[in-house]
Amino acid sequence: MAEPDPSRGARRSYAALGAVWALLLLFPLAAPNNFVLNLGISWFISLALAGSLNLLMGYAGQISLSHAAFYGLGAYASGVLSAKFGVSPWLGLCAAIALTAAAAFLIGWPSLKLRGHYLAMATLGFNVIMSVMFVELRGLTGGPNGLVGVPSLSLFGWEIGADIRFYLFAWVVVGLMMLLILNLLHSRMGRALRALSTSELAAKANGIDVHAVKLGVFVLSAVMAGIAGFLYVHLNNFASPENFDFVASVMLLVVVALGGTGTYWGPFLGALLHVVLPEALRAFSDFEILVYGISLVLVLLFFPAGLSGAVARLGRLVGRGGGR
Amino acid sequence: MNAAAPGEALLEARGLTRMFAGLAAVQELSFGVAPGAIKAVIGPNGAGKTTLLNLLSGFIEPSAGEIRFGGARIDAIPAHARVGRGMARTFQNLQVFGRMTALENVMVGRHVRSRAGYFAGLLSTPASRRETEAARAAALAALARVGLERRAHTEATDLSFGELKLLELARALASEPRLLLLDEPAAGLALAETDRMAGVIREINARGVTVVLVEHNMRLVMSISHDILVLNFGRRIAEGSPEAVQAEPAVIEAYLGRDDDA
Repeated sequence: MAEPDPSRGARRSYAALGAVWALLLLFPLAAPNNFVLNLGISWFISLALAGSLNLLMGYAGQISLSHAAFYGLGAYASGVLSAKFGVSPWLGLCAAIALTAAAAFLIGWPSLKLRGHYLAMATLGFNVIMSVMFVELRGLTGGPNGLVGVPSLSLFGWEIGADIRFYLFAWVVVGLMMLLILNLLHSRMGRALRALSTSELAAKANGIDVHAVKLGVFVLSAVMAGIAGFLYVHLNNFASPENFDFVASVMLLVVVALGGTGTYWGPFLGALLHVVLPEALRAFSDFEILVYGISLVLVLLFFPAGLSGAVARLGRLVGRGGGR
Repeated sequence: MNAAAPGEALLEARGLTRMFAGLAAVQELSFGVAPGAIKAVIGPNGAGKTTLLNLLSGFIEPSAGEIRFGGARIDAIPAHARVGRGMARTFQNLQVFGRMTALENVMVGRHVRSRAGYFAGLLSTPASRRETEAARAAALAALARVGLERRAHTEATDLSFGELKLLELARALASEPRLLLLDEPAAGLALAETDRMAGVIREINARGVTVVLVEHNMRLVMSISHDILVLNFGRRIAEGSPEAVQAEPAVIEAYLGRDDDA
């Protein structure tokens, strides 16, 4: 029997996103305290990171090892401008977007000309360089001690503090981001980037300017990470270099893989792990990366399509058992 | 798009040469393809057939010579940009987009006939949505032309080998080419599938698409070609109608060898 029509599948995805996002409005009501509410906010930020990396890695098949560097670039751009120069965070957001876009363009342009692992190598180098800059540009970034005194956001004279107000703000921003990603996936460019991930040759033969499309998705995904950094820095009023180092980039890759690469819902689950696991493992925080490593190996061995793939398979099994 | 002048070849190669590490895979090759023709390129293994197809479609650059399409030089134009000018191709070893349905594969073929970029896609503008709907309709029509419309919503990787060959053809057709370059369309196909492929190619040609095919399967070549170019060691050894080419001593020699070394 034929699979359901994709346009119906698309409508279902939009409906599901709407439902999930509506439910998320109830979370603050259920959250017993500010700590749990802040986990919700962290989940939004993780989702923005995992969703944007998944667009690049899962759908377009391009491996980036510097997603955390773009996240950090966005955070420091807006953080430094507002903390050190008194610039409005909203202008800081513009700077974060411009800077991440420019950096991604400069790295992507040469390294995406070639097929293979050049992007992975170039981004690895970029993340190391950015980590050094975050630490060594002490005068601006506060060095290893971190950047302090970053102001909170305010909108029309309303301060968006780290409570229900920030939750709602992140709900809007990340909701829009996930909506835009869903839009893109069902558009001409979305089809083009999914196509080139399995055959660049055939993509070219179908008139796709492979280099331009790859560069576009790389810049887009970096900008989204930069926006996540903007959220992070104005939520915490602080930024610290170790959140944006190479290990953090690898962690994001693992989060995407755990959730399920190239599936729209994978990052939702991956982000949940990203937020919950460190809390669950607080007593073993030194082993966090080890736990990530082991769970990655286990998931790749037993659920190559990630958690969302496993959930979908379970759903199909249950559906079949339900007498279809 | 400017059509070729009457009597002029749709596709023309002049002195086309491609060297690989000092060896000529294609050497001083000149030929034309008349609008509306089905032209086959045949020759023993290593004769330069696939190299020629890659040169024509822009996947490799010529070392010398020129290629004209619809009267204009195209040898400096990158492969992806040739598709928009009306040149589409298939691959000998299948190049299908995985993790996409048959329909989505063919919708990718509409890429050059639509325009929505990243911003339009992200914002899902009305124009972008209209394009996607139009691409869906055109892709379904292209699938129907090769007889795969019932497989539209099947994952491409779940199709049979013969169906994948037809899927590539449908995807190439979706770009509305004037010229279709087919790299061994019958390779790996069973007899009945080969005949089905021959029928599909003939039907596509009847609708005005010029076809150039590289092929080993003589049953297919002789049954559908109007015109045959025979290569050996990258050079033309014969060119003409199927009957004329089959009678050519140089062709018989290239394929069967001379008596003394047989």
